[in-house]
Amino acid sequence: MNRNVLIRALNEVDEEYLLQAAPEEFPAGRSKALPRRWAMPPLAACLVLALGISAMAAGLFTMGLRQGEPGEKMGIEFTLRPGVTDTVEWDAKLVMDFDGPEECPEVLFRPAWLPYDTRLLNDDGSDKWFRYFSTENTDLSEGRLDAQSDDYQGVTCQIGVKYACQYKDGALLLSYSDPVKVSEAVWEEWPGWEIHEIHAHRDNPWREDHRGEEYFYIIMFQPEDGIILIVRGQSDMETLEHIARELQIQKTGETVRYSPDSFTTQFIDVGIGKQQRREHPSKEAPAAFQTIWLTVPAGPRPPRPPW
Amino acid sequence: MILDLFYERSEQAVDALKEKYGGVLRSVIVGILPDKRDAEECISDVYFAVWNTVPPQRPKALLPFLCRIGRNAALDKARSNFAAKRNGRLLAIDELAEAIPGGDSPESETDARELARLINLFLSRCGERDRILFLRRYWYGQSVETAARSLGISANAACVRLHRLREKLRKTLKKEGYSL
Repeated sequence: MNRNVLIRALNEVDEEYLLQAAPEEFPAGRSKALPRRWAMPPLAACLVLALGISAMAAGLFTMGLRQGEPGEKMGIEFTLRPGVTDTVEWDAKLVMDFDGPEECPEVLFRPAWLPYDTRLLNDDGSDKWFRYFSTENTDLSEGRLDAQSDDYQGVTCQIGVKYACQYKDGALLLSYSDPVKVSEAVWEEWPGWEIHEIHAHRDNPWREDHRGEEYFYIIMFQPEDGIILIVRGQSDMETLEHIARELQIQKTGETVRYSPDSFTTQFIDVGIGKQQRREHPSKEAPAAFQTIWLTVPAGPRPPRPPW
Repeated sequence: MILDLFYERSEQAVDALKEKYGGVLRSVIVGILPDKRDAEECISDVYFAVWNTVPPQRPKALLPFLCRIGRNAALDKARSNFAAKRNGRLLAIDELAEAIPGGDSPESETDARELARLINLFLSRCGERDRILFLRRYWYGQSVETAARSLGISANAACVRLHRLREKLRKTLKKEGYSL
């Protein structure tokens, strides 16, 4: 590359990006770190002790977060059973791209702090560990989606774990409801974790009376192992951040592997993964979609989103 | 406010500019000109250039305007005395230029404009953190260590990310039909 052409081209970099990237001496950077309200983050302590990580090595995985371009869609073609396929696509509103190795260690988590007195214990009194935790009653068979359990005193919170290797060919979308309008996204780092705090408004497609709801997301990404923890809900960001900071995780000893032929997720969740990206709907035909298997979790299948 | 001081030809204009943006300007220039004397000389030239160009110019955003002048002046200086190369230090801009294959064909205005458009497209597709890292290294001229420290990651992690970003830029250019 001709050096002079490159220098002149770089002179035309968008001023907004330059202001955003201006070194710390510039006082008006757009990213801001939230005040540290709790001392030593127990999550980091837990990582060191429970996972035996002696030091945070260079991150093997990387994560990018961007807002989708107007008209940008992502979709999947999935096979429910042999011979029966269907296609679903979503507007790419907030897109998380990942890069890195093809496998991640599987982990379970448990919230060590919740804003109410609920004991998360197994019947034998041992600590309960989760792949997905929700204060919502998701007993779909009774059509009670989003109904609150009395145990949680009206606090909505869902926590899920995902893995960067799952999204190697696609992206993790913030597309639970339609539309998601992001009003603020803040990036910061906690020891060993990259944190995106997102303040959004959403329409709940299943509930006419839930339009324009305020919604908060904390996307926690651990570059070392490619672990993604998503804490989300309608509680205020401070409460969610407190929950997030006191999450504990442990490895199961199993490995989650990337496979272009498989697709496993809980259907109702913040992220729909492994999507074949389409720049603009008109440029590529649906035939370009990857055919993948969708493993529907046990139990009745949730209602199909109306989009 | 600072621009108004320049328009009034107030002697406080340069002091106000130094106080508000001097640290950033210095980091841009020192990133390109490690020699302290070269850097100080360059910084003085930049303030003088701003004094001479404002007015008549009235930049929309003063910081990018100041840093653009500083960056160009520092690159000119580095190019003229080859000090960085003689010290065996690869300039950030060279690191990026070498990562993107392509002949040393004479520069043209069209090439630069098209490349600028594609670089902005590439940056729009990067995550915020990656965009900041890329620009701190290749626009503000920060060392990998400094850029990494400012983002709270290790230098090794920053190297890996920068390598991937250069590769992503190369792919974007290729995909968009820019002749490499």
